[in-house]
Amino acid sequence: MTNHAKVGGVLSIVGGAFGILEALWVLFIIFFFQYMINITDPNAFGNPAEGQMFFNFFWLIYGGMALFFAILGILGIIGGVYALKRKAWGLTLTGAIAATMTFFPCGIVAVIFTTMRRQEFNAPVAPLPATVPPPPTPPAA
Amino acid sequence: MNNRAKVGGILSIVAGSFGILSLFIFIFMAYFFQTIITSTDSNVLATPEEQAAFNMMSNIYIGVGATYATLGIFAVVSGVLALRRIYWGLALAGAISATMTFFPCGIAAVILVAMGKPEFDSEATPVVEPTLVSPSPVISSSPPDAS
Repeated sequence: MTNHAKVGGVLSIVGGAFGILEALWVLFIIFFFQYMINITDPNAFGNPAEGQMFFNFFWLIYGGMALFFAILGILGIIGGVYALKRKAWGLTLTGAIAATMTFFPCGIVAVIFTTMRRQEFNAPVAPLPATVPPPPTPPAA
Repeated sequence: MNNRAKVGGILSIVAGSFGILSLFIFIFMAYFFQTIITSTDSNVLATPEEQAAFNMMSNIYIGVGATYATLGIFAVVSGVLALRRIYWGLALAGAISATMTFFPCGIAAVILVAMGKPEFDSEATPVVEPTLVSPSPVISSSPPDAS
């Protein structure tokens, strides 16, 4: 048995971690933008009501992006963990595809490794050889 | 034998076609912006600086489109290779480039080409042609003629 499934799982986890980082980065951009506007010119949008409406719209778009990346990242990490355990090939492949969307270089390699090593998943564990007691030795005459 | 390689090749060709199509879309967008800007306000692109800025924007758009087109051509060529079931590595590389041009088709192409590797291997196995061997001379059992 090779370690391709394990390598694919690790790469999927790395891609998923990038997805979480991207979500945090987008959230940081929201707060940074709001902070900079408030510092430089609180009345940049004319009146406070228009500014609040703009920020609500901004939150909606960027918050949606952050949620999207976070979901993809969590899916990639879960898929990677299942790949390490060599269980649930479909979920593993889904996680690898999600990792492809968050961080392409790791994700695409994870997809290839996971796809090529499908037979490693849910493979029956080889039974241990049964221990047969040794035949009784005849008593010495 | 499965048809995974064939389906993967077709998906790769489809995604590659989308990549080639993007070149025309980007060129169209560059001209569309120019038309819209000049039609709304004729004094917008009057100065050389504004003209240079717009040319730079057009070059960027055409460059992005050319990149997509290159990836698309590579994906189409590799899709043909996948249909013929030769050069598995090149077919997989083309499927990856197809992922960049059109993700839904490309990722399916990657999966199917990767799963269809045994089909490539079986096709690549050289077929041993039966060679015609000239019959060995028959040795007669009779003793050579003494005369």
